[in-house]
Order: sequence, then structure tokens, then C-alpha cells
Amino acid sequence: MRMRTLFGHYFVTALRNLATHKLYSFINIAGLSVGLACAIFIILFVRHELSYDRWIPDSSTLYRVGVTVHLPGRAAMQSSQVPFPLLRAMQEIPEVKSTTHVVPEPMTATVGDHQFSETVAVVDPAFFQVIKLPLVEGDPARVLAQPESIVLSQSMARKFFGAADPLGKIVTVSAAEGWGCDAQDTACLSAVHPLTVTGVMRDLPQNTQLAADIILPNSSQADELRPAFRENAWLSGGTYAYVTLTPGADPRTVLAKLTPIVDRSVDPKRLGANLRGSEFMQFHLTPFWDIHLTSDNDGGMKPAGSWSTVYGFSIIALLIVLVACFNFMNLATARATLRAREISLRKVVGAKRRQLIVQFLGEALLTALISLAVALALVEMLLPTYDGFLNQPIEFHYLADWPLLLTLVAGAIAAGLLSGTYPAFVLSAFRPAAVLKMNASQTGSGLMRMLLVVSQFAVSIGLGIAALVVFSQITFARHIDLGFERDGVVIIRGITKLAPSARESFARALSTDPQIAGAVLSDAAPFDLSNASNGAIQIQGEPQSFAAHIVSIGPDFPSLYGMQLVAGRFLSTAHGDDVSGRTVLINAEAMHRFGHVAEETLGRTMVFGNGRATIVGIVGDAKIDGTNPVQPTVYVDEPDDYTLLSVRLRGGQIAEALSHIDRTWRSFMPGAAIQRHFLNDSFDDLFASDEKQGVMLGLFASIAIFIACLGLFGVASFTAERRTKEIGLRKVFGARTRDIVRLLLWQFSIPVLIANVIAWPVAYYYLHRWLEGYAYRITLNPLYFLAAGVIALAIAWVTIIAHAVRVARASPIIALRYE
Amino acid sequence: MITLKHLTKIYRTTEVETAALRDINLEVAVGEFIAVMGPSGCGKSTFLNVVGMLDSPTSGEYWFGDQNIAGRSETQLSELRKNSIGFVFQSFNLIDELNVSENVELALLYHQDISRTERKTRVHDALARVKIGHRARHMPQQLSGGQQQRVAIARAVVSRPKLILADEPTGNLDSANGEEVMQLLTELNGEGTTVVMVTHSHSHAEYAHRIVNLLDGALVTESIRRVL
Repeated sequence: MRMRTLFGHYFVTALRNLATHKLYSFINIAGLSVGLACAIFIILFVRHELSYDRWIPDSSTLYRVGVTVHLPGRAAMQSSQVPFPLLRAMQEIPEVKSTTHVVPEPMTATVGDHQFSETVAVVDPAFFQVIKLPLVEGDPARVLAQPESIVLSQSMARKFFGAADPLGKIVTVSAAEGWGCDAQDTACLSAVHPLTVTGVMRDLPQNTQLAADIILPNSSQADELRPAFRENAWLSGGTYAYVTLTPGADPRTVLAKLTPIVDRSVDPKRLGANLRGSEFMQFHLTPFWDIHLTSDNDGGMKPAGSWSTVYGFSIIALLIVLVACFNFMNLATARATLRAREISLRKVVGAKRRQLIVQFLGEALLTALISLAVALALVEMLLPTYDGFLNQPIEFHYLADWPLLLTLVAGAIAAGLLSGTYPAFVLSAFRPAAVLKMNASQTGSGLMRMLLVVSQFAVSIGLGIAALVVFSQITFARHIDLGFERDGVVIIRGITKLAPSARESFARALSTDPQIAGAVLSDAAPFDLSNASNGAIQIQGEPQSFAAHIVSIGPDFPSLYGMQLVAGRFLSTAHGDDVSGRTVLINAEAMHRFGHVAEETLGRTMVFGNGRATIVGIVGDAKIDGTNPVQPTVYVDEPDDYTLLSVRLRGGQIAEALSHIDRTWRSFMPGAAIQRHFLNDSFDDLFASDEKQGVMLGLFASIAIFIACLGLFGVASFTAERRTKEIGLRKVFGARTRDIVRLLLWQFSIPVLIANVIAWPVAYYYLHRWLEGYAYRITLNPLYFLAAGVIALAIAWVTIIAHAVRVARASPIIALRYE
Repeated sequence: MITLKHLTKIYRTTEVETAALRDINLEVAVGEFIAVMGPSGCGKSTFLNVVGMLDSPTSGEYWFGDQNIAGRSETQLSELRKNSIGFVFQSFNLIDELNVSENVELALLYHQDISRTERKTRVHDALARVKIGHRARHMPQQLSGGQQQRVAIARAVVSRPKLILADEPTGNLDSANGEEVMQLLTELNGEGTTVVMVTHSHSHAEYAHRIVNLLDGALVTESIRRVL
């Protein structure tokens, strides 16, 4: 009972202290609540990232099959899509309990008079029994049993049928690209397939690697992939494949048993690789739950996260909370003289040191818990904006998320204890004899306080340097010379639905519009090489052979894209050999790999795939692979391979140009929705993730420096008051106002300057490693470091200049009466 | 009550050694009122700090009752101080964040053996004793100097100490308030509490049974003013 009374007394004293010293209470609570709010946002993000796919029932023994392909002369390529025949081969392995696959196929869905361009997930009929996505309607074992069945998500059902019950209704689908048909098979290209809705699936949440709103079985006629392809195409990646292993099975055993199957099924020599099948294609099993954070850059259904982002931001959260805690420590010890009398009195009346420690720790805890309440309010207000920025629905429900709430309370308590420990030990050590008569006191080590300020600014400067470098790298990458012109280009897919002659007609029809500068067919476009092939190339008679992109282009492709001609000529319809695939262009990288100069390369015969062709031109290295290093590339005219159309707009009347494109498409393909996008959108997507990271780094750097400056403001304010007498004496002996201001500014600049010495090497180390992940990158210019340091110093000066000037201007008479 | 034998207190820094108290020999009887006088810097406050167990002597003996204080830990001294000694300071030393009643109650909060009811009763009685009960809910900033010192005295006596140490209790008060404070101390002494008071004021020193004079840390003279 007496302990409760004592704690009650401590609580009342703490509250009254907070109310009496409003400025410092505000500084403490503001700093800690902003720091905690940042930490909460990051925790929510990390929790979201770690939660991917764990909500799917019975998915702990589920694996996705991936592959690493080793093409000669090229870095190993990771892919999350594997050859179709692999799954049937895996079914022979006893440890594999079940398999399923997902192939996203673009289709046009027609419901009544409405057409929708959608991506459909084509799966095997057992899909819902292997990946147990929740069905609102339908039996997982039977929902895809009928070939002409279709399962819709709830939102897709509403989109198609409104509030009506979708079960039993008809959705007609047709292939958007027609690559499952022969080019001349117009019946196949224009086929439509009525499918019956047999199930409704709960909308997939954001935290899953799967993207599926429409699912149909691969037994359906609507599936573009032909059975022969699914059974034999070992050298074409085509499907996301998932396997469930038997309980206790070791994935390594499964992969070991797969090796001889791959060796006898895959012949890499066709691609110029003198390797065994299992060396050419190395398969791996990734646990389903780990895919989101371990599968960066391998073409998953959705953009992946990464462990480095999770760890990186977790560390930033910790650093920001530490910066806030250091504030508290600094202010509490700097202002210790104000509590000296009270502390000494308490000792005089019998308080033991540990009782005082408990009291001050309690005050720190109270501040931390009040700050947590403010932080939660900030999170509540800013969560919608945060969601929008990340483009992910991150939620926080206090009751449902009670474990997280408890964790946050525990975290706030830890922050309070951390903040309060040093001040508690300093304050409780006061000697009453010294204080009560002479009003002198120890206030803790000035060195410790300086170290705390140095640490705060080191974190802020480090984050600031990182933000500057990330933004500079993104700006550099965005403005790099791509070797082609990307502005004003629209890419149209789905032209494989047209017969080859119709494709040319479509391109010509588009070009008649005065707003359109040109249109050219190809099987690939910059930033989208998914349909381009890769194969070994070699100059006839020479041993040098390496893998290259082989891109099929119409003759006007290089001029439409503004590519540079290094030597020779472009392909042309004026040359019969050009349009029959007997001549090729190569890029400068391929020429260098051959070890020749232009004059030695032009006119040579190149061997690739099953054919030969004459090199008639060398083009500049166009970075069609985006931010990846330029690969050797061969450009050949193979009209049968065309899959998309590049259209260059003249600029100005963009809306009219797009209308013309859409009208022309409808006249050629009345039953299929157009699939078009601006090339610049694909370019922007390359940087979306890095830009978000850059913005977040900049934001966190700003928050860290804001918190550090809050503390600096408080310490400067208090220190200035304490030095009133000294400053008065200096003025009596001749110091001018600007001499005093300079003195105070210099004193508070020292920790900031020292912080630079700590932050620069740490920032250099991590940023150097980060930049090495980019093929085209900036150098770490010392100016980035200098700029961050100067900005930090300037902000510190702005923070304290008001105090410095006020104190410096005070009359020395008043100052000397201070005692 | 108090016996000091060859008590010495030396303050040492890396460069200077200062003898604040030198070979003090003094006995204070139970119920005695002692006034300690001397010029500034003669060691009066140091003397009070040592007697009040806020500071430890460098050498010599200090007996408080039948207990030898030398060599005791801070915790043990804190217990002794809490139970036996009350302090009154020149600058009152009230806590600004606590009201009058809470300031007085502070002296009892660290006593494990006093119930809440008894604590409230004692506080009430102490405030009544010094005639400040009507200001129980006021904050120190709302009181005059004399009133604040009366609160400080109430705080000093609420734990019923055997000894009150007063360090220039009238130093910051006008003559009327100073007299009032001296009356209070005399009454408390009359009830059996031993009082040791440091003062510059000769008139206030006359309230004591005995005046001791310090000079340069040494006890130079004693004079009897009243019979105990």
C-alpha cells in the first residue's frame, strides 16, 4: 500500500512537472512521438511484408519452382517461370505430393455488350486443392472440373454482373494475343469461348504473390497454350509452378531426383551451351512463404519485396527512435539543476538513491506512454496517405491487432527506460549538501551530452547523404542516353490476333493519321523483351560464340526509335534479302564481343539458331534492357514473329492520336479490347521502387534531423540561460554582440562537425555497395557528403540562432545581477 | 545526544587541500538549543552537514546517541536521518510542484511504517502547529517568505525528529517573521526537541542555551546563555 502511495506521489509530481515546464515537455513529447510514429509506420510496413501468403491454409509445405539459366557469355538469369514439362516430370518423384501451375494470359472478356481487357490465370483443375484460396461459392474439388468453367473474384463478379448472383452466368473470353494460333488460322485467331461461372473467390488481399481475379482450367478451349507446347517445350519458360512435398520431405532430395530427368530432357547445345541439361537449367524450390522477399528481379506475378529493404527500414526505425531517446536524455540532464533542489530535499528527508531512480524512470515512462498515445494519433491520421504512397493497403486495427499494440506499448516502455536511465542515474547522484547551501550541482557529463548530440546528427547526416545519393542515382538513370528515343511512343500488344497481312494493314492504317509519325512491327520493344528469343551467335568460320538477344523487327524499327547507325545500313524493304531474314543488323556490343571493328564485321556471315544471315549494318548500343547492361543483340526481319506494334506520335494532339488508334483497332478487331500503353510508363516502372525508397529515405532523414534539432533547440535554450552571467562579463570586457553569437554558434557546431566525421565513412561503405547493384551508376562524389554536412550545420544554426542573438543582446547589467 | 571527538573535515582537490573543520570537540545534550556562529567561510555549514549526516568527516568520531556514525553506508545514514533529524534551510527549499500539504507530507513518504491515515493526521497537526493549516492547498509561490519558512518547519517536525538542524533559518526573512520563526523553534525545543542552529544574528542566537563560535574550522569559544 505504501508503495502505491509513493508511486501515486511520483505520478502526480511527474504530471505537474510536465505541465509546469511546457516548452521542454513539448520538445520531449514531440520528439519521442514523431520518432515512435515513424517506427510504427515502419513496423506496419515490415509486418505487411512478412505476412505475404502466410494466410493461405496448408501452405507451409508448398514450394514454387524457379530456375537459373546459364547462357554462354552472359550472367546467369533467374526466372520464376519454368518449362511446362517440368511439372509432369516432377510428378514422378515420390516426395512430390501434388503440383499445380498458373499461367497469366491476356484475354478479352465479354459480358453482354461490354468488353473488358483482363489477365486471366489459367491453371490446372486441381489448383484450388493445392493452393487453397478461399472460395465464397463453389467446391474447391469440383469448381474447375468442367473445361468450360470460370471462377471470378468477388470484385470481378461485381464488375461483370453488378449485384446479381454470378453463378451459372456466362462470360465469353477470347485470346488477346492469339499466340496459340497459327498466323494464318483466322478461325483460331477470332475464336470466342463461352464459359460458365462455377465459383466465386474471395478477393485476394495485397499480401500475396498471386495475382488472379479470373481463373479458368487449362482443359478449356480458351487456353492459348497448345498441349504439344505444354508437353515438350523444355527450352521455353512458360508457367509459375508450385509443388507440395510430402511431410518431412527434403527439397534437396527432390532436386537431386530431378537432375537426371532434366539431363535427358534438355539439350542446351541447341542454344550453343556446351553443358548438361541440369547445368544449363538449375532448378530450385523456394518455400511459398519466402517468395515475396527472396525473388527480386525474377519476373514474379507481382513486384517482389526484399529482405534488404525490410532490414534497412527496420534499422532506420531503430535509429530514429534512438535519436528521440537521446533527445530526452540530453534535455533531462542539461536541465538537471532545476531538479537539484527537489532531489536533494528528497534525500534529506530519507529517500534512497534507488527510490529516486525509480521516480525518474517513472517520469520517463510517463513521457514515453504519452508520446505513444500521440504517435498512435499521428499514425491514425497519416495512414491513408502512407497507404497511397506505398500503394499497399496497410492497416492497423487496435483490437484485432492487440499483439502488435502490446508490442508497441512494450517498445514505448523500452524507449522510456532507455531514455530515462542515464538521467535517472545522474540526477539521483546529486549530493544534497553541495546543492542545498551553495545551489551548485553536477549535471551529468558534458561529454556524454555532446556524444548524444553527435550521435543524433550522425544518424541524420547519414540518412541525408543516402537520400541525396539515391535521388542522384535515379536522376542519372532517368536521363542516361538510352541510345533511342522513348518519348511519344505507344506500344500495342495483341496484334498476333491479326493475320500477318492484316498486321501490316493495321500499321499502315495507323500511319495515315497526321498525328502519327510512324508505326512498326516487331516481336519486342524496349523494356519488354519477353517475346524476343535468345540464342548463340557466331561468325562463320570463327570459334567465338556467345548468347545474344534475337529481336525480330520491321525495317523501320531503328529509324522510328532514333537508333544510331554506326556502320553499314539499316534494313530496308528495297532489299529483298532484308525482308526474308537473310540479312541482319547487330549492335556494337556484339561487334566488340566478336573482337572486330566495323569494317571487319560488315558483310560477314553470322550463324544463329538454324540459319545464317549477312551482317549489313551495325547499330549503336540501345539500352532496350532497361537498367541492365547492354547485351549483344541481333535485329532480323521475321514477320511471322511479330507480336506488337510500336507507334510514334507526333506530339501535340495526343488524345486525338489515341482515339484514332482505338478506332482503327476496333475496325480491325471488333471483338477484342485493345492493349496499349506508353513506352514511358514502362520506363517509369523501372524506377518506381527506387523512387519510393528514395522518398522514404529523404523523409526519414528529415524526421531524424527535425528530432535532433528539437533537442538542440531545448539544450541551446537552457544552456544560453545558464551562461547569462558569463556572457554579461564578456560584454563588460569588450565582446560585441556578433562575437557572442559567433561563440555560441561555434560551440554548437562542434558536435555537428564531429558527426560528419562519423557519418561519412559509414554512408560511403553502404552506398558504395548499393550502387554496385546498378549497371549504370553515378560515382560517389564528395559533394554529396559535403552537401549533407553543410545542410545539417545550416539547420543547426537556424535552430539555435534565435537563442544566441537574444542572449547576446541582453544588457550586461541585468546579466550580472543574475546571481 | 551528539558527541563529536576530534572531528575533522578536509576537502581535497588535485591542487588544493582545505580544512573546513579542524579537531572539533563538542557535546550536545538532549533537549539543548545550540547556536553556531562565526564569520563567513568558517565552516558553519560544513559543521551542520556533518552533524546532519549529509557529509562524512575525514577523521574523528561522531556519536549520535549511542550510535557511532563513522563508516556507515549512505543507506544506513539515510535511515538514521529520516527517523531522527529534521532540517530547516535559509532558502526554505520547498518543492514548487507540490502544494503546502504535499511538501510537508514529503517528509513522511519514505517511511514504510506510517499508514496513510496517520500520515494525513500528522501533516494536519504539523500545519496547525505552525499556524499555516489554512494554506494547505496553496502552492509555495503563493506564500510569503515567512509563511514558506513555517511550512519548512512543519516539514521538519512532522516526522517527530529528535534533532532539528536549522541553517540560518531567518536569513531570508524580515525581523517580524524572523522572530516568529525563532519563537517556533524555541517552542519546539521546549517540547524536548534538540535544536542546532547556524546563524549570523546575535539577537537570534540569544534564544539558544549555548552559543559556540567557529573560526577557520575550529571551535574557539562557547558561552552559556540559558540553563538547560
